[in-house]
Amino acid sequence: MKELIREILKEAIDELNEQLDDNEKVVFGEDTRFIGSHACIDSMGFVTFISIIEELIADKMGKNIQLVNEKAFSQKHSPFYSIETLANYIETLLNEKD
Amino acid sequence: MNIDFFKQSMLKNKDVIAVISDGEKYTFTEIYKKYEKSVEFLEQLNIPAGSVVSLRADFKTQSIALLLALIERDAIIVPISPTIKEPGRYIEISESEYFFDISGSETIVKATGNVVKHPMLSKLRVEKVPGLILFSSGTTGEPKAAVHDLSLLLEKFKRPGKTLTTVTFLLFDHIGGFNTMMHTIANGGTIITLKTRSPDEVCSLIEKYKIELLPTSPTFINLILLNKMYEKYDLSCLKMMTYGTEPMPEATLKAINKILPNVKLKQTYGLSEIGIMPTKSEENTSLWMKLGGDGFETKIIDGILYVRAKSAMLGYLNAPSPFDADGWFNTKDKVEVKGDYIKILGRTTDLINVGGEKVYPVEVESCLLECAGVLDVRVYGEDHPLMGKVVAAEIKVSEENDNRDFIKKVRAYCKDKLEGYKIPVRFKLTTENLYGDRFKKKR
Repeated sequence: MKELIREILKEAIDELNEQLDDNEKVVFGEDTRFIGSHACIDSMGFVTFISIIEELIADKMGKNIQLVNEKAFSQKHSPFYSIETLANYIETLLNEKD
Repeated sequence: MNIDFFKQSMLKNKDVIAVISDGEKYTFTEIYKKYEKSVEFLEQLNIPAGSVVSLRADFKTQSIALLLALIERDAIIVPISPTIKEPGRYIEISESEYFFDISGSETIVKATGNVVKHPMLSKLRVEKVPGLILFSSGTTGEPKAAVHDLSLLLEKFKRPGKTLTTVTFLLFDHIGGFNTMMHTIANGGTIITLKTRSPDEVCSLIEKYKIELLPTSPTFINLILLNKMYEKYDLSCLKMMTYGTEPMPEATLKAINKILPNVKLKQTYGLSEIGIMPTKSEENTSLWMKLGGDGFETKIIDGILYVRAKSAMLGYLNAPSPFDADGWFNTKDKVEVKGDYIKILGRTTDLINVGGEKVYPVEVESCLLECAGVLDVRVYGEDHPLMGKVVAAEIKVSEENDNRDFIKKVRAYCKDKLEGYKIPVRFKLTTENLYGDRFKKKR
């Protein structure tokens, strides 16, 4: 499942990049940060990115999950930090859904 | 109420075609005869003066005739369009004592057993003036019943005006539809009635009967463009198109002007609560307009348009008065001002607040409509845990575009045209129509 989630994240980044300028484009890599002082996107970019992921998960996996919720913010380490943490978080949410 | 001004106009224009309906032409002489029969009909039924009467009808000779007879009898009239399938609630709210249904082939008359209690309705009776109850077309909650002293609304028709051959696009129970009908009778004009209001029907009738005026909505103009109706039918007879009822996307306005450069495009502004205001568009492709005069005063406070009108309603039957102590009505329309001109940005209730940034749906809709493959679009706010609201767009597409790649294309299109917070975060694709019976976006 992790592989499919990573594919979805890659596709979400590609789709987000469609609306970003060349100097703002997000790279799919382990060093890419989505929040914090080294975040590669602004708050609107983040909101759009999350929304695309949710839509792709619904399209490809037939599951409706909400990534931004109270639980996500109450965790000690933000699940939105990197591709890796995001993939783990999505996997947990999907497993909870099952 | 004395309706001699209508009667004299009908007699003066006795040979003029007043109504074309289902291919049949009716002169004012025929309307006049039907009016006389309606007067007798009301006498026979023993409908007392000042009765509250719901009238379910479309623009037919019979409805015009009956309407005139009811006005003369100082009735309080509640027009109901046949598109309203369940008129029961409307009859109840308006305290209608009688229900006339002439929308079908037979005339149905029912005494409802309702008793008029509302002081506003009693006031009209005491003053022996006809009334008009119009329901606001809000999509949420209960429709609000606006009560008018009809004698005030009809005052302007005593002054002669010009008429154009007009298609009755707006419905019988709409302030704009009512206005068109009264103007036509008062000035010896011709109206052409519609059955389905489809772009094909409207445009074929424009060609067939050399219609000069199409009063319509931005959604319908977009349909004319999308279906390339101007290639299928000769629309060169059109002199004017008026648009109102919802904000106009600039892209649609520019596109129709390019296709039909000789047609005057005029924005209208009317509300069930205050009547139809005089307007003057700056130019065909401009959303700036002059508004007011002739009994209408305007003022703008914090970007919101307020109107004070001689022909304003008395109030709502089922909601608190929206007027302040000095009689000003808050339209809830946010506007920009440029000298004598104003531009309507949208209803404050439709405004989307994205983390403090304000977005008016029509601006985003206008941009999206320019993107190839977007057939129609509805932009709205969606709740979001981080931003409060985010912009969402529902887009009508053809089947071949009903896929994720199309959304990518739209995102790319928005990139250089809209600020980040205005670009829809959520997209929903559909192959269904986004408008309702009144060719107005479902909001």
